Amino acid sequence: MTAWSDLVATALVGTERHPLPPALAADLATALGADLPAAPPELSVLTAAGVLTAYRRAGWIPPRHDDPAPDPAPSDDRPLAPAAASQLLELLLNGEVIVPGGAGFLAAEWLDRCASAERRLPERLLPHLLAAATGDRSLRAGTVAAGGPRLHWLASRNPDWAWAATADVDAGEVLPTGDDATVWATGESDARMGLFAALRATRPDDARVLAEETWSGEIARDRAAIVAALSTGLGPGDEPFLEAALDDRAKAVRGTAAELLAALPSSRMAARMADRLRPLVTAGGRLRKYLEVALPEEPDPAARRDGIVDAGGPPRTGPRAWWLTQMVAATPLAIWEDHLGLDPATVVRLANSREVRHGLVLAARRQGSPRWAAALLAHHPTPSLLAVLPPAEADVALGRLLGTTTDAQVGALLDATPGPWSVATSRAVLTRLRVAKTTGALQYALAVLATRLHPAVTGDIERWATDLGDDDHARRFVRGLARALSIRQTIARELT
Amino acid sequence: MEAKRWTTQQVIALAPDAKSVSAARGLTSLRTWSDLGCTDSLVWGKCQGSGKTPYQVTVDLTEPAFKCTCPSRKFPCKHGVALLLIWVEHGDAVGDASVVADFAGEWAEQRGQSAAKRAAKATRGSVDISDPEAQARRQAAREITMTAGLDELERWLGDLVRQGLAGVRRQPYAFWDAMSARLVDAQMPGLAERVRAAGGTVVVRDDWADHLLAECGRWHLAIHAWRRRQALDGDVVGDLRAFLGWSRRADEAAAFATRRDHWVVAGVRQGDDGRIRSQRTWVWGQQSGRWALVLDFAAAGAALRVPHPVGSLVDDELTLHPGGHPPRAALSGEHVVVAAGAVPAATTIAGAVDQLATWLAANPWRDQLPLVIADAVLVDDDLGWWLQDAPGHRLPVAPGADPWLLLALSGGAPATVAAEWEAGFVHPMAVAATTPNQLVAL
Repeated sequence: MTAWSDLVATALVGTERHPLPPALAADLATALGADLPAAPPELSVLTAAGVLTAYRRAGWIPPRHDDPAPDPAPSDDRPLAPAAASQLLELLLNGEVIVPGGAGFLAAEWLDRCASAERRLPERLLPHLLAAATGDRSLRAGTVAAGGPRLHWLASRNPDWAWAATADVDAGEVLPTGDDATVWATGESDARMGLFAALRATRPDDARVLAEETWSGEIARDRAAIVAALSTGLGPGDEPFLEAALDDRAKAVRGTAAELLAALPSSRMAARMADRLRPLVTAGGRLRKYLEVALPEEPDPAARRDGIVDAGGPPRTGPRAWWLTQMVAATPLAIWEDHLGLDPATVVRLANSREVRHGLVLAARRQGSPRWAAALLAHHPTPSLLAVLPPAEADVALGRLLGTTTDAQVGALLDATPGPWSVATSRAVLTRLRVAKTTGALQYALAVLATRLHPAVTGDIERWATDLGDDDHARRFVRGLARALSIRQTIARELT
Repeated sequence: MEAKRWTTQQVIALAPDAKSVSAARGLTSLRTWSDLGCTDSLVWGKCQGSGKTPYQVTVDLTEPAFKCTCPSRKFPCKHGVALLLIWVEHGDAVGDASVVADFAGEWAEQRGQSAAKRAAKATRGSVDISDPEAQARRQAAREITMTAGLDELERWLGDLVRQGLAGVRRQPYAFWDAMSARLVDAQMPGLAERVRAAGGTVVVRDDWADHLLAECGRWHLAIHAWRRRQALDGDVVGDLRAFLGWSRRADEAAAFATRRDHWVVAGVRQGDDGRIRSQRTWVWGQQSGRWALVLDFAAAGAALRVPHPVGSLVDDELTLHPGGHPPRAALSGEHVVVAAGAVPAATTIAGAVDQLATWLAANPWRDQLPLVIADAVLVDDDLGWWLQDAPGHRLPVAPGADPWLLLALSGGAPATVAAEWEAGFVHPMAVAATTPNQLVAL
């Protein structure tokens, strides 16, 4: 409406400097249906402004578009999650649940269970959840799985939530988006490494390819981090890359690469190590079997390249013993059986030197062999072997080992044993934690305890909290643990 | 004899925000409570918090009013809400008592006393005011003061336009505050606040000149209207008084028209000008098909009245202030919530804009108006978000409004949306989506 713009222009300049243009006065008279009242020009402008504004506001016409609206979200036939469960999720997302170390893992568990129970999230929580999962990556997979088609649809309308829009709902995985490639190319080191680690969890080969593209330009620290991250999803496909990394400029990279190759029994390095070890081993005897392993000579450059180092050995061990341990640790365990025709239990029984046994423990752990781990555990109560055993056996072994572990080692023992633990073992764990003389045992990650302890011991934990009396720090931890367990129980009960 | 207890939804509606509801839910474990009891009008209990002594919580059901010894500044605090939740959901734990607990009884007595004092003051006051001659003299004096203030405003506006608006951006805030203070002295606080606020907009808005001229035009219209007030319709005078800020006395209010209806609570919006918080509750009468606006105010630090939940149906005889539609209204003391989940009649955008035009033409001083659009969807383009209806018309959504909850609840499917129009933009207030007859606040 030009009359209005002209009026504003006149008012901006001021009627003192620029009188009301007659053309405008005439336009206004037409618009108002009457001549402006005879008055000083500034008052005429004000009157006209008042009336025109009223016209403009009342007479506004909405624009019209013929383009159809975007498609609505596809329907979700799953039944709604129970109201009590949804309220619990809301509490978790709002940070209302105080758990030392953070309650994120509880929300992640809620979402996973909701997806498995084939229930859908209440729609009103979707924006809140998307915002929370944008900040906390650990929630992303669960959010996508539980959110369903409406969450996808909602995320596709907001660039901040792009990660959820392109996610593959069926596989329940969160796949990288174009956004991720940009992060890899231009992001900060922390972001890149975080991305790499997340990618290795879902698409290890793609992650490695991504690293190979930029490998030559990476700084040593990043190279070391990348190789270390390859331990997630490690597979034979990574062998060529790791073999090449044995020649890297940085010691950290070489060392990690050698360690990882030792976990791949089919690798060339493992074969080379077996060739080194075989001449040293003699076994024989019919009635009384014997097994002898000679100590090796100084490692040659090829052996050095394959990761045999001088430093890092246990105290009061000679260099040759340490080299032997490393060689045994890197040799595929199958060699013992194939070459010598001896089963694991026999080898362990016959191997009478500390360095060989130590090497076997390392090998069993790296190569993930439950049979060897079980055989070794019988003679060597070593926590790290627990991680290799199948859960049921590990659980039993944990119960047995708790009695003899020192306070300092309890943490490592619990860490190594994957959950969920049986009721008996859980009780044993609690008993052991309670008698710990140092509070160090309680510095332990609450999330780990909360996810592995059996829910039936919640009552025991609460009693422990009451018994703690004045120790505020410990009490807070233990109460938090009880709370977390009780919430997990509620989640399991509500979302089945 | 058990009094009728409330519903969970009514209790949740009292909480100041969603976080409080969650916090209150966390306190509903019976282990943390002791000394629970209730009567027809009171509920009380003691809640063990993180301190040494338990908090004493009392709720007077008639208003409702809350009293709690916790240090929280929220109103009502989570303990009050939790107590009511327990009273509603675990009825047997909160038994009817014949003897009221000490702390609850004391507070109820104090309230009774101050209410009695207020009533006494009012009657004393009304004896004074009911003298018609004195009243007429006072009113005449006031009108003279207001006329003088408006004359001065006209001179000030004239100076502004004569010297040119361009110069006003260089003026300090004192320039606006001085005129605003004059208007306060002249007993027009509403207009005073607008003048003060206009000073802020000239440095913030890109379209400041258009906005300022439009505002000045409105003020000038008000001056014109004031001078002709004897010849104007009662409704127009009512709107003018509201714009200027000349509020109604209690005895005047007794003479106002009333309308009894089943009122649907369509939406609630809050405003904060830095000094006073305001709350607009838009209600739509099912039988009359008319809108009304319930206004609440609170000074900084005080609590606003807790509105009825959006979607509830309230049976009440509202007192209507004189003025154009939709009128400002006041709830009587005896409103009753009869149902939850009612939805007002919805129109197309064209129909709503028509209605807006009628309302705005009758009252140019209106700032906010209600709309209910049928089959609305939210769409976005480069310019921002729009509310679009079936025939394809679009209303611009206010830039600060959050579209995500509406999108999540509607899933992009057409739904009935209640919104508040303000200065050419709309703020969605509520949507009836997942359940067609259930209006949910946004």
